[in-house]
Amino acid sequence: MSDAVAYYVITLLVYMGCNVMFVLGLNLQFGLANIINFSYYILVAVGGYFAGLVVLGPPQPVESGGTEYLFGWTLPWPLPVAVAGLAGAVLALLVGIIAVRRLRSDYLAVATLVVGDVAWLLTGNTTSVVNGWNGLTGIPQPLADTLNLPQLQYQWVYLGIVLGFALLSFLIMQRLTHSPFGRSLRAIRENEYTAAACGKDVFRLRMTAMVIGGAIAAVGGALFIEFIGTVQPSMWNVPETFVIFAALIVGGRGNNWGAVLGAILVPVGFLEGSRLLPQDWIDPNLIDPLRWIIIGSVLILVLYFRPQGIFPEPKRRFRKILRQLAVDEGPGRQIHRRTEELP
Amino acid sequence: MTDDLALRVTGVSRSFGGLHAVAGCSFTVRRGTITGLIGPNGAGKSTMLNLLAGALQPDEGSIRFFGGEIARLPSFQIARLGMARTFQLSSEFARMTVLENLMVAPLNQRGDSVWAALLGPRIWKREEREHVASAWSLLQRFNLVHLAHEYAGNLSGGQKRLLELARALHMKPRLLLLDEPMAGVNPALISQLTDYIAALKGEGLTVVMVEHEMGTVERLCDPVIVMAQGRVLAEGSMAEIRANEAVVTAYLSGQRV
Amino acid sequence: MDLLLPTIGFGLVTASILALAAVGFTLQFSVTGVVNFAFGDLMTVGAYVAWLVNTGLHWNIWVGAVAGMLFLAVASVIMNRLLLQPFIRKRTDLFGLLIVTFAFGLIVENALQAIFGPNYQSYTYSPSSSVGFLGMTFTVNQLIIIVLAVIVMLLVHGLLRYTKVGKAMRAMADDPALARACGIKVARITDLAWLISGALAGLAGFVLVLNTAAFAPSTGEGFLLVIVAAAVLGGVGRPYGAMAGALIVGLVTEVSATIIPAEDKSVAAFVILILVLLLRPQGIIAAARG
Repeated sequence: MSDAVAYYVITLLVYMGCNVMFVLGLNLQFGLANIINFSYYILVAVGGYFAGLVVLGPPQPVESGGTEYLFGWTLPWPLPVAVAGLAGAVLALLVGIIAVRRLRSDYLAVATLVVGDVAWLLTGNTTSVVNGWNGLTGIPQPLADTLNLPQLQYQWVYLGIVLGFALLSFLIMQRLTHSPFGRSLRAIRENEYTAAACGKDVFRLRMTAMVIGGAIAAVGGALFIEFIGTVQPSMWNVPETFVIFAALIVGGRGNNWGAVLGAILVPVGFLEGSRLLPQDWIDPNLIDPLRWIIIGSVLILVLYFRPQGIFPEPKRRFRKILRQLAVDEGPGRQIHRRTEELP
Repeated sequence: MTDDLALRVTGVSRSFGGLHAVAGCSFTVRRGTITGLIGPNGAGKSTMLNLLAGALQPDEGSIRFFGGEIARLPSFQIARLGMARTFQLSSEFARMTVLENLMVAPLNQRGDSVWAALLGPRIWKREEREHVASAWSLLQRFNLVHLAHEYAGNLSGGQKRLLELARALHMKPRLLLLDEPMAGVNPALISQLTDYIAALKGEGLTVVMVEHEMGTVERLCDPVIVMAQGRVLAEGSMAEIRANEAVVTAYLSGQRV
Repeated sequence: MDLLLPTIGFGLVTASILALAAVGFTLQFSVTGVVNFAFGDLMTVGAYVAWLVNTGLHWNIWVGAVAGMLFLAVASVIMNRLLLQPFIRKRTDLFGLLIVTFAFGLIVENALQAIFGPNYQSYTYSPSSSVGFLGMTFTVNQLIIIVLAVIVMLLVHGLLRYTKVGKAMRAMADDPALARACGIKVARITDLAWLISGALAGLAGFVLVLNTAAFAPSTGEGFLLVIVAAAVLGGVGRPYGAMAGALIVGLVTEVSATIIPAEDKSVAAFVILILVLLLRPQGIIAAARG
């Protein structure tokens, strides 16, 4: 394939890998634990910012055309990614302790939305922390110097790294989801009082989901920003969070395969794919608003006709264990197979 | 002090705003009994039950559970100490199967810890198998096997009651708190449920039952604690309670004993 | 003191705009239980309708305002019937409805952008003169806004307190099941709640633009959070509380500009909201009563 096409494919796949991580993180927080964090994307942004802040060199003085930001420690890879993950985990923990503990779901949605917006405004208006609205730029790509490869080769390597992290996130999520821990989360989601009456420490379990989800999102954010090279407030606000929610809802809430599919369809397939539209098809000014109109409409339609998503949460049948126990499920077997859906 | 007492409640009070739902209640529950908690409407029975289970915190007083103080513990910790409770209204995990509902119950599951979950099934698979086996036998006992893989939300009201009881039992509790188990249940199922609960006594379980349905209380409960207006009026067998003037008066303004 | 009075003046105007919006938002929520996250974008629509009438038909802006109110009143009722009721019938939970209204708001905002472009527009009217009042300076339009807000508050008060419909609304806010059981025509009252909410959204959108001079498709959406701040402060679902909340938020927002940098002034409102949500989610007015 030609170089231009190769670059495009790599870009698309990197976007996909990172978005898969974003949606998986949300699946843990929202799909399983039912925590409505309407500023979810800030966890992604925090990951990106922290990675950038520690990998960049010290800030140049403003007078000579530099920018203002904190840290600037020039840490070698993979430390920035680790720092990012930690930052995401800590922020998620803070949000959890302050908000999730006290607020019911609709208040929580509003509260997180507001906090997110405030954080966005403050980040933009304060230049000393992360250079305000202009953000951080010139973030070097990891290992570029050590590997010393030609540009295109390097991009393939980086793609491999991203996909590796995405795969790791998926495996972690699968393990968590299909374990008693995941079951306890779902029980809390269904009825937290009954779950507490069964001895589940609701707060601790939800915080764990919050923190791990935050870490995954932040690591994805770090990988994303290290690829793009820049991070600014215009890249992360409520619409971005909305897209990730839409991806999860369309793909299938509570289902990790659904999360992956949603990530491929919505942020990548749709948003990025619409860049491919030939210029003379539609007036380019219309493309952006049209995108959002379509996403909004698709989400409303999905919520109405298939709220469980394309890949709904699977029914747990304990097949393997029941077979091992050589259980006779009896003549009733035929009956329960037909009654699948909730009315 | 060795406790033959499953519960020792001393001077427990709880108010909501200006309303004294429970005021200076004291009573005991002996191990291995099915103790009834009855009283006219507004007596504070539900509040008392929630105080015992940790869903509410008392304003003052002490609650000792097999000798240990539990009055200000959160409900999940009390559950872990061996107290299981049922709820009156729909409390099943609707989008999980009946079998899964039961699988949530067992305490101290190794796989519940996030680390165990991350390290993989090998760590918790054996325990899981044991729990499935015990859950399955509970389903057989309550005649719910044919619904094992049905979503709990799809069950009929009566089936949900049975599931609720099975779930509480799967916690292998020392004490079972039943919150009006017969409320809104059809007569045929009432007798079935009564049989199930009666059988529990023989297994060494202690049961405390809040109930309005007097037939059930008569059949199952000995002793019986009567509450009215937030206080304990009397404790004793059904016969003794019936003869108690204060009890009769309290009920005359409410329902009949 | 020099700076304080004018900012109080600004605060009163902001509070008036906010009051119109917050009361509409809250009244509808109290009756229907739906958090309308498209409210801000509906306000923008109101602003655009008024603008069309003003610049397109060359009519007086106030006529445009009325047009905006009427359009939005009807549109809100239709939105409820066509978009929200199907979900409510399907027993979608509160969060699901919130997402639906949010998505709808997104669609509306982008439809406006697709049709009118992202650029800022403004109304055409002759600049009004200034009036001094208690050491504060207002333009005539600003005074009209304040007066309008007061009138609307009185009308809403009159509606809720003295009319049969208003009592039905309060009943529905208190206990929807009981209200239905008492024979209240829930569907009709719901329609009315949306009608009023829409009309107020239209009016609020118009006066918001009147006060800030320029607007774009994104204008209303940013205002939504300030509305929510006022509504929550006053106690979720209490129209009177929303009035008080609007006053407080409006004043605090503007007065805070004397202390913190101007571009951060809306942050003050948000901080209030967060504090209230964390410390007293039922709102401060509720606290005063109980």
